[in-house]
Amino acid sequence: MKSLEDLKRIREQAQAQIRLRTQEANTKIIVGMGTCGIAAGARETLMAILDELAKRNIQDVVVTQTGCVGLCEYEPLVNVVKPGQPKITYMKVTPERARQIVASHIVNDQVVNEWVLSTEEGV
Amino acid sequence: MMEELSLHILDIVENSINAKATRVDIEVDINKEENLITIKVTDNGKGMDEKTLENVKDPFFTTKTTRKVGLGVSFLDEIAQLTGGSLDIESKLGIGTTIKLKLPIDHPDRPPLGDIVSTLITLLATNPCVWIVYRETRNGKSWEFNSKEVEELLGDYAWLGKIKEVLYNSYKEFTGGELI
Ligand SMILES: Nc1ncnc2c1ncn2[C@@H]1O[C@H](COP(=O)(O)OP(=O)(O)OP(=O)(O)O)[C@@H](O)[C@H]1O
Ligand SMILES: [Mg+2]
Repeated sequence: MKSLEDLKRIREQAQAQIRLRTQEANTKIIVGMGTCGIAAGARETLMAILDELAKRNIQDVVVTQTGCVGLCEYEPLVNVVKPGQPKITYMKVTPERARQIVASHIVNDQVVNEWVLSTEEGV
Repeated sequence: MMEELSLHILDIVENSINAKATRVDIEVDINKEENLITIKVTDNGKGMDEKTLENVKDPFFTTKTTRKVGLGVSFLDEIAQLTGGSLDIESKLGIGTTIKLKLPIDHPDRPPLGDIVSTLITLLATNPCVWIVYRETRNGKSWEFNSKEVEELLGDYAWLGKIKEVLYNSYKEFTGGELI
């Protein structure tokens, strides 16, 4: 199977440089992946986030998913949790918004207020 | 209903992950002679008790507490009924669940298979500890992806991007660009 051989070769080449994702990574990006999130476009939003992180060679961020939180009309929802800062929930995050959130909030520590649905202290 | 079957696959695997599965097998079989596309998702999650299994296709049934509807499986049932296909679900508590969707390929209301690679990358990126195997058969050929092969690369977004590229190319070579 060609794809697997390709991937194995890539892995071997990569072996030296790989940094494993650690549990204590600084920042978390959590994307809502319940049915409502997926129907609203969460997969494309997530793909844009991954692409932006890869382009900027950002490694100390963990991207995870969560199920439906009951705010379906605001999906796709994206939470950003930075250490020592309140959890920010962004609403209706299109791929374009997602890229901007990475550039502004993740890289430059500037919350994009316009799309914030809620802010939660102490997480 | 969603625009692509690949989005439904993502959604169904999310159910498996919520059920604490550590291994998920996705099989897609495209059989043109029989005019049938079969999607089978098998997990080793916690499984369903009898009451849950009886109600799983009901859109007003869910074991979630965040809202009162559970749409994922009912959407599949809707597609099956709309196209004259079928949806079979087997589940055993403590063993796991198998969901099998069969749809006529040529029915106008059947959603296209869509972007399978994006679904796989999404699952890999957000669940690096879940072992995911995808196998597709069409035109007598098969294509397989096994997440174990790339396990060590999943924490690094640059490498994840490279995996995506490799998968897109190899999947495209497999399908010959044919859209189903
Ligand atoms: N693979 C599975 N393993 C165990 N239980 C499952 C599985 N798939 C579905 N279920 C059960 O069936 C219920 C209904 O599933 P369904 O996908 O239709 O809705 P949901 O996941 O609850 O909500 P939604 O999909 O709308 O986000 C779930 O709440 C869960 O209890
Ligand atoms: Mg579901």
